Amino acid sequence: MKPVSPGSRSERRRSAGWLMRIVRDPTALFGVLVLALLVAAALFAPVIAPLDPNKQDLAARLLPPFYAEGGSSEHLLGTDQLGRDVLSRIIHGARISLTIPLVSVTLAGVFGTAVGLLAGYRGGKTDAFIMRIVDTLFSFPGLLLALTILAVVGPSFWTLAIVLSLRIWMVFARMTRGLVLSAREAEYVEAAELVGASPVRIMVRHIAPNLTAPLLTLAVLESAHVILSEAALSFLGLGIQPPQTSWGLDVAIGRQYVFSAPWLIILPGLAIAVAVLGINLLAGWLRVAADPQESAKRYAASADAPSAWSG
Amino acid sequence: MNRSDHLLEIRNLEVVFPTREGTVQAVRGVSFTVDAGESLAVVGESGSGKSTLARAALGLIELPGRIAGGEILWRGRSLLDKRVARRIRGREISMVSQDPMASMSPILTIGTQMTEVMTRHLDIGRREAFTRAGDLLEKVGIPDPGRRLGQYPFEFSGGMQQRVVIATALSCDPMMLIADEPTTALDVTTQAQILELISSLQKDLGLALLLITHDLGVVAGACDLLKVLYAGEIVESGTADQLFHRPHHPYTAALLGSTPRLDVKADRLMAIEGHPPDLRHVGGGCTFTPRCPHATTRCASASPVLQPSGVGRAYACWNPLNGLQGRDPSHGGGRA
Amino acid sequence: MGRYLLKRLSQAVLVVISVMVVVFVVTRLIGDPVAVMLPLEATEENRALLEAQLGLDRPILAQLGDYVVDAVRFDLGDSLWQRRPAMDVVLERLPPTLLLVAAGFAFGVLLGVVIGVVSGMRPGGWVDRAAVTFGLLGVSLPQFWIGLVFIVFFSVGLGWFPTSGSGGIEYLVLPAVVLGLPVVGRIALVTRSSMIDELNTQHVKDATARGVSRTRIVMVHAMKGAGIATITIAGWELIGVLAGGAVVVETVYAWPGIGFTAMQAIERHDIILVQAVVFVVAIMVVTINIIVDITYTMLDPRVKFDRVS
Repeated sequence: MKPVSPGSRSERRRSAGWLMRIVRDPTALFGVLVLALLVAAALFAPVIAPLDPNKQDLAARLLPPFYAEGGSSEHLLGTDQLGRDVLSRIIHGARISLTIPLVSVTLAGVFGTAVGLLAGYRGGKTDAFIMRIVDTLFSFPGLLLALTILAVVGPSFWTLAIVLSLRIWMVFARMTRGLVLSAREAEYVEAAELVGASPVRIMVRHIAPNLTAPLLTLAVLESAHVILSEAALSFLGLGIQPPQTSWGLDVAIGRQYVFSAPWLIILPGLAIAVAVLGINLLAGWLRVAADPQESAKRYAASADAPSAWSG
Repeated sequence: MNRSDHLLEIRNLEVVFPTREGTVQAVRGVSFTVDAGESLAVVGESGSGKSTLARAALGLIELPGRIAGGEILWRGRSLLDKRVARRIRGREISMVSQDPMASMSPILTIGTQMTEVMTRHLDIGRREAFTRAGDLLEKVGIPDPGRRLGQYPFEFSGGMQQRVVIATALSCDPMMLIADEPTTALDVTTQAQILELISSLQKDLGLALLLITHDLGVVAGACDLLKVLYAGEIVESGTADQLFHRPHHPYTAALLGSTPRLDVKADRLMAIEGHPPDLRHVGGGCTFTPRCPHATTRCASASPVLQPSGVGRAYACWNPLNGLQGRDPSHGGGRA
Repeated sequence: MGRYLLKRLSQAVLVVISVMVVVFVVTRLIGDPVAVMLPLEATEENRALLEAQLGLDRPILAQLGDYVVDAVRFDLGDSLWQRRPAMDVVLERLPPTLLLVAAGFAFGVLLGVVIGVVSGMRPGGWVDRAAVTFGLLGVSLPQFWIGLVFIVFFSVGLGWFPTSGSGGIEYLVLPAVVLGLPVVGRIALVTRSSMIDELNTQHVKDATARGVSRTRIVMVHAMKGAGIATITIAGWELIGVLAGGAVVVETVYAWPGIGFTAMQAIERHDIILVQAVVFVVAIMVVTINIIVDITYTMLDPRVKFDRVS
């Protein structure tokens, strides 16, 4: 990625057309809509959800969803083994699926970026030392270690969020370091250093603008990973604990009814899949949109390109 | 069937590149021919369409570019037919490109990359191809070819690697060699050696040579004929001698003024002012007008066509230099 | 080569030790292993007895020292659940995991490379669009969910495969495919983009101009280059499969490997056994890393052993 000079006019002009470009790209639009839906569901869960997600009704247990025989409009997506409304549980589940990545990615992003800035800016021995630790952490058996920690410490919202952020902060550190190193080589940064601008000023004025777009894209991408990890840990019983609701947790509960009530597995899992797919699509679009070279390539490829070369 | 008595004949070639900001007209109606044993140079600035032209002469257009009009004939057969072009590339026409270090795969040995062309086009086995590759390396001046064949491109210097590329280009006894800026990526001493090598091989083997360059200095000893390309069009053509001593087009003169020469004493080199035109929006009039010291109102409104003047010479200019009006300056050394 | 290997090996040992130190710190300092291991109704005497048995009454640094020395001797203590050396339990459960991981990884890499190469040859074509969509699904769908959905359709619905457990090849198919699906997706996307990059390099363009056939350019020039890029990713994928995917998939299919064992041990509060699993997996992870580096160095002539950091 080429460094951009801060606040150039063309950059500002580009951000004005931002919204239009999302609307014109169907995959990005899908991603944004999914994310908007998720946020809305999380924020207004008590208003949108037809019923209390924890209200048991043993008389109405294991009711099938509307598309299956015996489904009713009262419980659109059926009920679980305790007669709780599946649709309401999925809507409330969005709260966890959104706040966990928000918290974990923020923690990991802030910490990782700080470490990466330090390594990239100080260079030399500091850099070598930090990057050695980062490299070592990359060869840790991630999920297994997370399971061990959660088993010992005890799973809760915060332990889960912290453990998940411990698994990903290195990604931010590594990317920040790389971006700082390449930005420092840019002429305007060298010039600023020569005229004696303070390190803080150089960091804020000249280097930071080059970090925002790629780090934001990375944050979006990592949220998708965090959602998947949270779901897997909750499914394994070491993530979100009842009475809180989580899509992964609901799949785990539905597992016992694989013969009689498969919707208890399929529907909450589908919610995870759609959320992650939406975020991945958005991340893919962001990566292209933030890189002019890449987006020109996309255009050229879409024009008419049976192969890289004719002949 | 298109008949042509020439080795290579390009007729009215037009190549366009669609981009998001509009369609670039990279080559705009270029025609020329190359005969057996002839050496022709096409000279122009970067962006003049000269490299596109070189690739097109092999039947290759880099996507998203496409040929919008015209013909490319090789011994009467159209190179726009991909099956024809595939049989001819490397076999009858071969190519040497700009950066020798980027020209071959860094992870395959020289031997592999030299022989893969031979085993495809010639009826020989791998062992025979390796022997032949060794002989070729020796011919282009690379000592210890047996060991060299097992090495990778990064183990060669730029000049040596360009010799390897040339040897590979000659491996199937082609009739024509296209050299696209063959010396640009090399240092000055090596440049001269490589040029000399190409020149002597061309004469010894009776090859036709199409040399593409931005540097008139490169053309001097190597080519008999010269075409000057500006903004996708040929603006002047003739023998190298004629154009060097009596350029008619102001652009040719400007190019000469910006080229360091040993035979002419110049106080300083003249840079050509201004930029080449935007090939997405080509209007009427001569494309050189904004940069031309001799431009008149006519130049801005009407486009001059390439018109012959004397034997084998042509130019496209309303106000040609060297007192063309009134008397014909073309003399001697004309094309037979 | 010898010196390089020695350096890499010492780095690997360091990684395994640091993994174990992290586990030690977490279990002994942050957590309370005795409280986790003991039943709720345990008395203060039970507690003191277990502490003494585990050596937890000794100074913390002495504990750490013993712990590391024991680990280097492959002695991680007795499993509380099985009442025999934890390493024995892990080594006994290792072969099923290796079988599952090998099958799933092979499926993932082979299919991923084929899809990646074919779609990278014609970016924008229908094969490519289908492959990109498939790859995106592969990385977006939760693995445990795919596993359960497959059980719902192929085992419960169609009755083609058993729902879980182990035995003949029919028990292996579903878990291996589920384990390999995300690998297919990621390997396909990476192979595809490096194929596209390779096919756009100057040397491929020049090879075309030199008269090298399209088939040879794709199969030799581009694929060797893309292969070198894919190897590294494949190494990461194998690590992910071993340290993550296998735990999830083994649990879904009750596959009797070390991942399932780790989950059972966690349920039974058998921290010793969990540690043994983490230890063995850490060793396998660093071994894979070394193998990937060596393969990479052998494939790419530009990289020399002494120049690898």
